Amino acid sequence: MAPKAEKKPAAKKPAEEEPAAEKAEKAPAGKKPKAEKRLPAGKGEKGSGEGKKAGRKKGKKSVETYKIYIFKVLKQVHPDIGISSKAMSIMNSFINDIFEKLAGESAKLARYNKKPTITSREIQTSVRLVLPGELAKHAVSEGTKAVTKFTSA
Amino acid sequence: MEAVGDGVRNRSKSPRFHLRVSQRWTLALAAKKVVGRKLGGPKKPVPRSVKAGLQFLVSRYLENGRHAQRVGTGTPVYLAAVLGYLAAEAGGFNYLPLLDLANNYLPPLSQ
Repeated sequence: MAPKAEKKPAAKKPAEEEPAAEKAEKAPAGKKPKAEKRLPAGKGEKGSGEGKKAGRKKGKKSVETYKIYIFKVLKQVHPDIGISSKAMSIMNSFINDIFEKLAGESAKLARYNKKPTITSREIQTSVRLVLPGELAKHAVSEGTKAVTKFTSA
Repeated sequence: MEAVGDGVRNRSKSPRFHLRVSQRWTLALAAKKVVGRKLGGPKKPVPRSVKAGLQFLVSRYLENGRHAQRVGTGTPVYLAAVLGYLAAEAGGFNYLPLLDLANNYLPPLSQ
């Protein structure tokens, strides 16, 4: 099941590349104002500026996604490339999936050691367990670097 | 000396001018002090994403009590970095990691 499920997105992506290229002109124009709109609202509401929970009207529930952050990362990697809405949804689902895996594994580790706290050490071990090979190594490196910078700042 | 004395006595406006200058100086010093206090005073809140140099959010997802009772301070930073890295990898249209994930659907613990 898993290989088939993952073959389909692989097959879809080259098909989506062309529409993505076509939409690339529209997508950044359309999405940039949204990104610009959300961040100041988030910063305005919360002093810490952790950002993404930009509350709308009281009637509507604020839907939390990773889309603006995925867009930021994309601009870091490929400044000139845009991304279609369907591809963005796929990326959002991907991030949520990995988050659940890592968080679940961390919770297990904390429970096994009879500790009520999830620390960066638990996350590190979970990354090594969940991600394969070189991916885990690089992820651990990125995480350690971020924590070091966070601590020193 | 006498001439200078005479000069001062003759010009009645000079003391006022002197006072004005001193007042201005005092105000300037006060302003500097105030500015200094503001600068040195309580720091404005800096988002943790900026502190850690990340694009992904450093959020409170783990703090809902779903996964553990307590969460360390470095935990969301580490997690944000990992998620950001994975987003960059997948966003870079590099298919190999995804295939690699498919191969290791159930990773062994000894890995």
